[in-house]
Order: sequence, then structure tokens, then C-alpha cells
Amino acid sequence: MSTVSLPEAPTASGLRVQDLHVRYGERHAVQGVSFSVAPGQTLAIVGESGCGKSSTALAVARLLPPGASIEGRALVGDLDLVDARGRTLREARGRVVAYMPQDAMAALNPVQSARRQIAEVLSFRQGASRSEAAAGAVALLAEVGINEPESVARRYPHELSGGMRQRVMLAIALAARPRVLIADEPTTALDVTVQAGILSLVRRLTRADAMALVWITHDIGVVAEIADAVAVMYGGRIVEQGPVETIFEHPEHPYTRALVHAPRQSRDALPKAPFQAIPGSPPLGEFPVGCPFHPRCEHALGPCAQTMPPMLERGPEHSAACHLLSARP
Amino acid sequence: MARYLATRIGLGVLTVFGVVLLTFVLMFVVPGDPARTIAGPRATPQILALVRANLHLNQSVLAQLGHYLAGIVHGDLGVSYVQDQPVAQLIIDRLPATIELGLAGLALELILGGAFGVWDGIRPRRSRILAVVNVGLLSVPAFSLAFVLLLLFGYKLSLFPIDGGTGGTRIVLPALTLGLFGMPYYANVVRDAMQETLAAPYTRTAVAKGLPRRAVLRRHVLRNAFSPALTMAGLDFAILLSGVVFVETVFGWPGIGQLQTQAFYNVDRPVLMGTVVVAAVLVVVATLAIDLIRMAIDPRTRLETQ
Amino acid sequence: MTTGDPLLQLTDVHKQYRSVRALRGVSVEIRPGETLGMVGESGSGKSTVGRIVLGLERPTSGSLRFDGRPYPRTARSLRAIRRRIGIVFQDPYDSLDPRFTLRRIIDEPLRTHGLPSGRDRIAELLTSVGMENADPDSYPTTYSGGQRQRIGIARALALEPDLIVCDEPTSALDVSVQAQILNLLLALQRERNLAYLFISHDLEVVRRMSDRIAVIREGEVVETGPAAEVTSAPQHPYTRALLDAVPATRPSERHVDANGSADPVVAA
Repeated sequence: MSTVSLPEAPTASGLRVQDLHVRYGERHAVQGVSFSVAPGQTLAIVGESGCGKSSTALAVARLLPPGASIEGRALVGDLDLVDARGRTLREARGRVVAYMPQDAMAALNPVQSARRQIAEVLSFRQGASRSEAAAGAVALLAEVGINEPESVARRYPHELSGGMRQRVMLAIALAARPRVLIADEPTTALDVTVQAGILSLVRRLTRADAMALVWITHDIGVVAEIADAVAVMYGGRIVEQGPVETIFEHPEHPYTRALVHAPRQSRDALPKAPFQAIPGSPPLGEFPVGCPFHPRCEHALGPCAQTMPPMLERGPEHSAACHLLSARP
Repeated sequence: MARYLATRIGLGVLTVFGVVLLTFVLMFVVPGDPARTIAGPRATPQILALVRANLHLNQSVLAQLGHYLAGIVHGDLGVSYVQDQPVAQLIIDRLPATIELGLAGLALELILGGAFGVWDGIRPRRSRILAVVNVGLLSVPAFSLAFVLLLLFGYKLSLFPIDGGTGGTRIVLPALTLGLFGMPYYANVVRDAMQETLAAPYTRTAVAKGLPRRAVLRRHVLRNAFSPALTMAGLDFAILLSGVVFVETVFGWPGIGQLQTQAFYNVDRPVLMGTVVVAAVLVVVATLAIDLIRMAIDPRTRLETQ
Repeated sequence: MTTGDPLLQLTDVHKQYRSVRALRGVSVEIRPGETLGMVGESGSGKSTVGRIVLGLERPTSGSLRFDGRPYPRTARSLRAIRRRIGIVFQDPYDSLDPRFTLRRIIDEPLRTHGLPSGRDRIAELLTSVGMENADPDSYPTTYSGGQRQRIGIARALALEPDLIVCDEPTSALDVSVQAQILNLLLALQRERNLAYLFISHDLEVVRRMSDRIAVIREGEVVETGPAAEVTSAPQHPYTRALLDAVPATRPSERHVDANGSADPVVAA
């Protein structure tokens, strides 16, 4: 890859998302989400099904299906990904923003070898020759921790283990050296022992390259392992965000508290003792009026069912949206 | 791989044997006395007996089947009752014409259907044109389609020979009939596969790589989208090879289909049997060929052979 | 509660699929009212054990006993055993036919076995899984994942089984809903003295749900013992590896470090 001359990528500038909205027709799936991620840092967006976390990821990566509409800004340097069209957008793909999906088996072309799928990024995006691209693909496989990269490069997706497939996806995502990597639950389908390897690999590589990493997950344990900062999503909004230590040690929103405390309470509990459970289930489709969490919240008050609480500053870079907080400064 | 091929060929031989057995039994249920067909209505009982002895008709069904199978192994399919020629020779004379028309028809089906399917598949919404063309073609009976083409291009425009001509253009109308007849099926299959492939996560991956749209289509979408059409083409080719009676009849195409029709009306048992056996062999060979092509295209199918 | 003769006993069970040895001599037992947690990663053979216990597959060799008697060889006599073993599936979206009403879904096992059902029985079963407000004539598509899993559990309870095989019963559910379903399973066990074969990849969930745990890897049970013992003092290195891979509960305890030292190189 050393022979390929790269057009200079936008300098390390991280990602700033401002007031992002995603709509699928009438359905307002993401309702004004704002966050920023510094180069080399990891933001974990955590939430349950239907909370809007995957729509946020796809919107920033500009991979929403046809029929979905985006509003707001997603800035990498001077480039607004939401506004990008045509050639600008195509140039930005892979080089400014890359995407890693949950299901690597489905995301890899079943009839092409790992080498071909990695190499085409190098030849199309960086003008590498055939042999340069092939060698570059093998080098990338080695970079993502694969032991016999030449042999793995020749294999087809169905001949690889789940962990190796996800590493091939990572190699594809990193091939054009993006400034921002959006990882949409890439370890959810993997065995726990494999997951740990992928987590630390992605973290190490994005740090080394000063990439901004957005890691989408439903698993608070993964957040504890990988994040520098956390955004908790519920009902299409961010309900709390802050540095990872603050979120885990001083959570303010009742939903965050339940999420963060559940695994610790579980660790301390004896076999066959009941679990701490949040009643009800997360809203799907239509979000309730007011605070989206109020139907499941044990502290809910009158205003919770009427108005959406504003995002309140709770400390350095820490904010939460809950009516209880305005009553209790 | 060698083991896979051996198994497939073994299975193919079994299939052909099964077909022979079944048609042999069917032939014996068909009413009519072949000896009388050959010797004519005024033959004496002595002549009839002689004919029967010659054709082994006086032996048991099992013995006759034995004779027939032994013949097949040596490439001998018997002698036509009516035309007084070896069946194998009759079929070999007509096989090239059938293969020619089959290939041309298949190519047109794939090209017309594929082009229409791809054109419609890359559009976000289903086009009305394809729907109208499809419904139109599907609702016209195949033989009237053939007559329409014949009238339009043969009589009115005089572009192509109507019947029995010998030039290279005489294949155009029968092949076009087959092509137009098969097109709607291919167009639908390709269009559905296109839309599925375009929505597939691996296509999203290709888009996320920043590849030009044409590269996304060419490298990732088309190959996967044509996979179901290929399976269909394999089955279709086998059917076309065994002769398409209506097209051969309308256009006077000297293929196996015609031979079969004549044999049917004449109760010419050896010819009927022969065409069925050859068709069975061709079907077996064509499906094997398609499976080998699939293996070359889709690595996942190679797994099952190991 | 967990004393007496085993309800289910597997001795040296092997299962071979062509060249793949899915199970290589699995011996486990479950007593009445007890939960055996079976934990392992994908491909370990844990789901194969479940299917063999349910009588959906036959072992290649080894013995299977239910309530002291060996599994019969004929399908007809197997029905008597199947009636006493229920199943809760992983995916509540796939496992309920969207064209059937709740009544029909829950009714089906009863009718299959020629048992009396009826309005009261359906209502009673729905109530026992916390779905007393559900309309028996509604369809599963109108319910959330957690509610569907409750319907699936009601179906499993219809035949009043002695044993329920739970194959990853909460893996497809949202985190905040998982605890509700697990609590329901615990409560039903107390009320009805049910035994569970609880199959999962999640060691922490297995620890919380089980009396005893069997750790399975590549078709072999590498460690068995009381839940608290196996998880607090693991004897087998694989059990320790599984425990180590359970994610941290706070960032100060994370295993993953930015330098990638927890990154095992994957063998090709």
C-alpha cells in the first residue's frame, strides 16, 4: 500500500452531529439528536430496539434506505454529510465515514473472496493497481489480527468463522482510512470470547489512526468496555450523555440508572433470586407524548406525560433530560 | 469433484433407465398392433407372424425390454415402423436443428427477459410498461403469437422466410417466438432478484465503499441477480432440447418435436421411444451442465459437493 | 426440592452428523423442580442436547431416561414423553404463527394430544404468564417481543409439563424485558415445581437461573456443579475463559485496553 499516493483526507476533526432527525414517512424515528466525537475517541450510543440508534448510525453513514429522510447536520471538518450529494458524497464514503454492520455474513458478497472485496476499495478509491490492491488486502487482513492473511484472503464468506468475517468487514471499513467509523452492533452476533477480541482491536486501530468511533450497542457491558463517552437513547432521543465514568458512576436519568445498575445488581445476586426489572417494554413505532420513558418510569410526575423535558447540564460535558432534574438541581 | 461427477452420472443413468422403463410400459398400454401398421391392412396371418417374429413382438414384455436396453447400449434405438430407417439416424438428422433453435430461443429469452428485468429492477418503482408487456405476452397463446409474427414479418414485411427456406434468417421467427414466449417469466424473475439484491446488505456495503454506481451494479448486483434466472434457464433448455412442438409445426422447423408428433399419430413406437430416451439423456446432461456452471459462479454451491 | 430420583437422565450421549461429532459423550441429569443451566458458545452442541431431550432427534449412541424409563423407540410411544416436556423457543417472532389467534396457538398442543381445552383454560394460561388482559382472539403480531415470549410460555405450560427446555429464551429480547421473562420463569417454577433445561450462551444469566450448571464445549461437558460453585471457583480453564469474557459492569473494571493487550490473534 505504500506505493499508493493518497489524497490528503480531511485532517483529524472528529464528528459533530447537530439536531439530527430521521423520518420514515410519517414515523419520526430520530427526533433531534446532537453529539460530538473527538478524533481517537469512542462514543457509545446505547439503547433498545426502536430507540433510533441504528437510524442515527445509518443517517450519519448516509446509508438509509430509499424513502427515509434526514434533517440536521453531521459535520466532519467543513463537510456536512447530511448535505453531501453526488460526487461529494461518493468521495466521502469510506474515506470520511465508514460503516460496520451487525451481520457480516449478509454484508459480505457471498460469491466473492475476501481479497476481492477488500481490494476493490483500494483500486477504486486509491487508484491502486491490481497487484498493489491484492497485496494491500492481505496487509489489511494482517492489520486486523488475522494470522494467515494470504490463506484467509482466498476464502469466501461462508468459509470464514463469525469473528473472521467481522474482521474482514473491519478491513473493508478501514481500507480507505476513514476519519469516522460507525460500528452498528458489530459484535452482537458473536460469541463472548470472540467479541472481546474484536472490541479491543477496533478500539486500538481507531485510536492509532485518530479516527472518531461511534459504537452502537444495546449491551451496557460493551459500553463499559469500550466507550470514552456515552449517549443513552430512548424513544428517538438522547436522554442522557456524558463521559463514561460519569454515566456509570453518577447516572441521572432513571432509565440510565436502571441500565447501569442492572448488571451490578445481578452480579451481587444469588442464583434463583428475582431480577431487577423495568416494567413494560420500549415503545415501537409511535412514541408517547411527553417524556418517552414516563409510562415505564417509577418516578413519573404530572408534567412527564405532557412535555418533553429539556436537556439539562449536569456537570462537565454531562447532560440529562428528565423533569425530576429541574425540580432537583 | 471426481466423486461428485461419478455420482451425478450414475444418477443420470438411473434416471434414463427409469424413463425407458416407464415409456416401455406405456407403449404396451397404447392400443394398436404394430405388425398390422407395418404390414398393412391386407396382410396375411403368415406375414403378420413373420413381422412379429422380426420385431420380437412374439416374445414376453421382459424379453423385449431386454432387447431394447441391449440396443441402447450399442446406440441402436430400433427401426421406424413407418419410415423404414434406424431411429437413431432419424434423431441424429434432426438433433442439430433442435439444438440450434433451442439455443437461439434460450438466448433470446435470457437477453430480452434479462434486459427488461434489469431495466425495471433498478427503478425504485415498478414500471407500467413491463407490466403491460408481460400481461400482453402471457395472455396470448403461444401458437397465436407464432402466427402473428409470421403474418407481420413474413407476409406483410417479407423480412424473413415463411416456411421451409434455407437461409440463415429462417431461424429468426421461430427463435423470436420462443424468446417472446419465455421473456415475461425471465423478466419477472430477474426483476424480483434485482430488487432483492439491491436491498441486500452486501450491496449497501458496496455503496459504503464509495464505488461508482455502475461498479456497484456490475460487480455486486448483477451476478447475484441472475442466479435464479440461470436455474430457470437450465430447466428451460432441457425442455427446448426435447423439441417444441408448436413452433416446429407452425414454422416447419425440422426438429425432434415434429418427428415426435408424426410418430405419435402413426403409433410409430420405436421413434416415440427413441425421442423420449434422447430427451431424457439431454435433460440429464443439461441439468448437470447448469449445476457445474452454478458451481463456477457461486462458491457456496461448491460446499455441497465436497 | 431437588432431591429424589432424576426426572431426566442422559448417559454418555453421542450424536454424529455425517463427519461432524456434535456430541461426544454427554452425561447430565435433571431432578424434578430443578434447573440445569447448559452454557456454551455457538457450535458447542448445547442446542443438539435440547433437541435430543425433546425427542426431535435420536442420539447416535448413549442412553436417555425420563422419569426412570428409557425413551421409547417408536414415535407413537414418544408422544407420551413429549407431552411431559415443553419448549420455549429463542425467537418469539418466528415461533408463533402470525395467522393464528392466541387461542389457537395455546390450544394446539391440547388438541394434538386430545386433551380438553376451552375458554377458561385459555384464560387461566394467559393469566399465569401475566397476560390476563390479552384478547384470546387477537393475533401475535399486535404484541411486543416480551409479550410474545409470554404467549410462547403459556403454550409450553398448556400440557402441564414436568420439564421445559428453554433454548436461549431471552436472547432475542430487549435488555429491559429480559429480566421480566426470567422472573416469570422463576415464579412459574416455584408455583408448579417445574424442571428446566436452560440453554444459553450467557454465563451470567445461566448462573442466576440455575441450580446446577453444565459447561459444554465442542460436544463435551467440561465442567458441572452447583451454579454458585462453578461461577465462583471454576475448575476448567474454559469456564474461566467464559467468566473472563463477561463484560465489565463499570469502566474502571474493563478488560479491553486501548493497547489491544486483550486481543487474542485469531488463528486462520
